[in-house]
Amino acid sequence: MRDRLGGTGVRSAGGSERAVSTDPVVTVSGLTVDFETERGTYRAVNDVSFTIGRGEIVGLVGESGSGKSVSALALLGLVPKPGRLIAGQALFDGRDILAIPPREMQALRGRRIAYISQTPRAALNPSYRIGDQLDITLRACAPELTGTARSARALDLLSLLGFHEPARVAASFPHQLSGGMCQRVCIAMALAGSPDLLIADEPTTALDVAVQMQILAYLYRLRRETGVSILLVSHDLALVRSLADRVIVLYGGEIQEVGSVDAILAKPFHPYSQALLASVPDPSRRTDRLAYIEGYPAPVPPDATGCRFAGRCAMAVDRCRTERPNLRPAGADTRVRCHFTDVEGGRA
Amino acid sequence: MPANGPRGGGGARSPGAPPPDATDKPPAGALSKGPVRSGLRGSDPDMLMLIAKRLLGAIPVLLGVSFVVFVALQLVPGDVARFILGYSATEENVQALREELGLNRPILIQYGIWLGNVLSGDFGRSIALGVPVTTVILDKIGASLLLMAASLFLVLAFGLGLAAIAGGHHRSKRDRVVVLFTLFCASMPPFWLGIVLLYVFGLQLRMFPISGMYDMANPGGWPDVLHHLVLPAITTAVSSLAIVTRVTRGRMIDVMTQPYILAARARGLSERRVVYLEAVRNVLPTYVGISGLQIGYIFGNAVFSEIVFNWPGIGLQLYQAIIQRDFPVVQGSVLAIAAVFVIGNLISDVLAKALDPRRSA
Ligand SMILES: Nc1ncnc2c1ncn2[C@@H]1O[C@H](COP(=O)(O)OP(=O)(O)OP(=O)(O)O)[C@@H](O)[C@H]1O
Ligand SMILES: [Mg+2]
Repeated sequence: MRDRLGGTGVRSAGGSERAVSTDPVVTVSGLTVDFETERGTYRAVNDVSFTIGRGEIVGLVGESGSGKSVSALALLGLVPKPGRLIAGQALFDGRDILAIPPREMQALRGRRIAYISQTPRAALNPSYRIGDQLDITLRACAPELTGTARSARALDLLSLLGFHEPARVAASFPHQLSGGMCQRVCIAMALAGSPDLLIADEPTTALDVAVQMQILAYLYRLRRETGVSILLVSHDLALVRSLADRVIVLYGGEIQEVGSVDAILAKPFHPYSQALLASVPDPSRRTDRLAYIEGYPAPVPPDATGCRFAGRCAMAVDRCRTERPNLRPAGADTRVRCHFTDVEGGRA
Repeated sequence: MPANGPRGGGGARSPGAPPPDATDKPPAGALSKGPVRSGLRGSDPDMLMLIAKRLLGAIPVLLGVSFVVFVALQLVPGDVARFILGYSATEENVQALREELGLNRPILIQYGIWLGNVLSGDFGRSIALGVPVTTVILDKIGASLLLMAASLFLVLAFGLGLAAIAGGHHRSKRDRVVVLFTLFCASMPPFWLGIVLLYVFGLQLRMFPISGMYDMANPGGWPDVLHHLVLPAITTAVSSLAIVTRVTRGRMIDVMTQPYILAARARGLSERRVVYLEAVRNVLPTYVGISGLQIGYIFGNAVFSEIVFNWPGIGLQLYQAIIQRDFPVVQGSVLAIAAVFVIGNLISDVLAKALDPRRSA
């Protein structure tokens, strides 16, 4: 199948070709994270389970505060303070990486599981040249390389990310680069250890549209050429649609719907997914009003009952407020957490 | 990105096109001078401007300091001429000396004459010692600078080290120990601390000499001087060490919450590298800045240490000159101290600026 980067898009039309094996690179189950603040304990992530296949791109979507970043960081063993991992397992290479000693987790970070962040410029140390930061990263991720091999590899990585003058970039400080260049540098650093899993937390949020597409194109090409699995965190369904194979819809720290991107975007079951999809501006249907979801997500205590979305859901009935729905199959390829999906995957 | 973006197919747009060459260049102007070669550019025109500005700014400071001291000395009770000649001297002799010293003229005139002389390099003569003030100062300033340098070294070395250990591991046990230590140090008046150290380590434990710069009976070169230096240097350094550690630790805690620290951890760097390589580098401008501000305090505290430990420096000289109403020496010493203060701050400002790669061009 024709799939040139400069072609019709990040991914070619149709997108049915999938070099994805069913062999999972990571299997997460029951991931639960609490934040203990002065104003009480909040559950940021509740009982989140999913797998990422080898070479698969999985989108993790949800609006601000839905727990995307916390889930992503938990996989790196870097739950931000005052967060605390309450429960959960993440099998990677046959080991539960949520339970291994910090030293072993550190050895996995960068080398096997890499991360790129939402704020590319802020993710670079302002006081070191790009080349020095790459060198520090390579020291950690590829200790087998000697000094000169490291410099060569640093320049290689920069060239790989489309820099035509890698030496010049290596000699620059982050503040001398544009946001898009910073993100490419960050991706280059993430690739330093040839990871199996790349966690990209809103990698294009801080960038303008043209540069966003460029970065996405790199991620897509990267998956094709290296077979890396990508967890693509985003609040932008359109972005996820263009890149991901499967999508996880997160709300209130819980998975509301999960399935193949084609199925969910063609026919979302969960009212929240529907609302999320409806709020994506569609230039083919010009309207004066943009759809949006009324209200905002409220922090939930650990013992909350009922559906997390009930407070904002147009379809909510009493049962939604008292009884937490389970994640159950709806359609061939999807699972949904909603009381209204009882009957053979259709809506009651 | 539109909802029916690349997936919608139809070849409507080619958003995934390879990066245009133009974006490979840093934004306009950023690299026009080429990448910065070194963190410390000596011949940077901005830096020369900064130095020139600060040197010009130092002139009113030195003038102000010398004038205030000049006026203050007039307010010291008792008559200088009477003090010098003693209470048995006759009134005529005292008047004659007042005339000779110019003490009967208006204060502004006296100051003007003094300033004119200073500008032509003449700081006057010591009333008590009878030698030129410059000789007295040059004779003493070396010992003071040595004491200051040793104290500054303690402040710099321990300040950064303690701040990194504490701030890099916020709320850890080491952090709490360091915070307690700085509280303890900050609440210690140097004069009192000097006497305690002198008593405990000098008189009781006999680990260090308690007076002077050399062993009188058996002078032993540099090791001997360093041995004499330990207690006065600690006495001088302690309160500044507390301030430098506290401020730098605060900045360190702040730096540790920055996204690039999380990113460094995510890249698999060891916690040691994260703290001591990635974080510490970013506290250096703050650290150098606050240390520079301490130079004045160190000099002030050095006066106390010199008095307690009989260290033959300019502080001790100043103290003696005040007691002896040796006003030319007081004036000259104060001016010398102010000059050291100004130069020290200038150096630290230049360093702090040079250490910040984001400094505006
Ligand atoms: N440092 C923190 N202190 C307290 N609570 C936090 C903290 N970080 C996250 N949380 C809690 O975790 C929830 C999820 O946060 P998270 O950062 O994962 O959201 P997100 O989905 O990544 O949102 P965004 O799109 O804004 O990045 C938040 O609603 C908040 O309640
Ligand atoms: Mg986030």
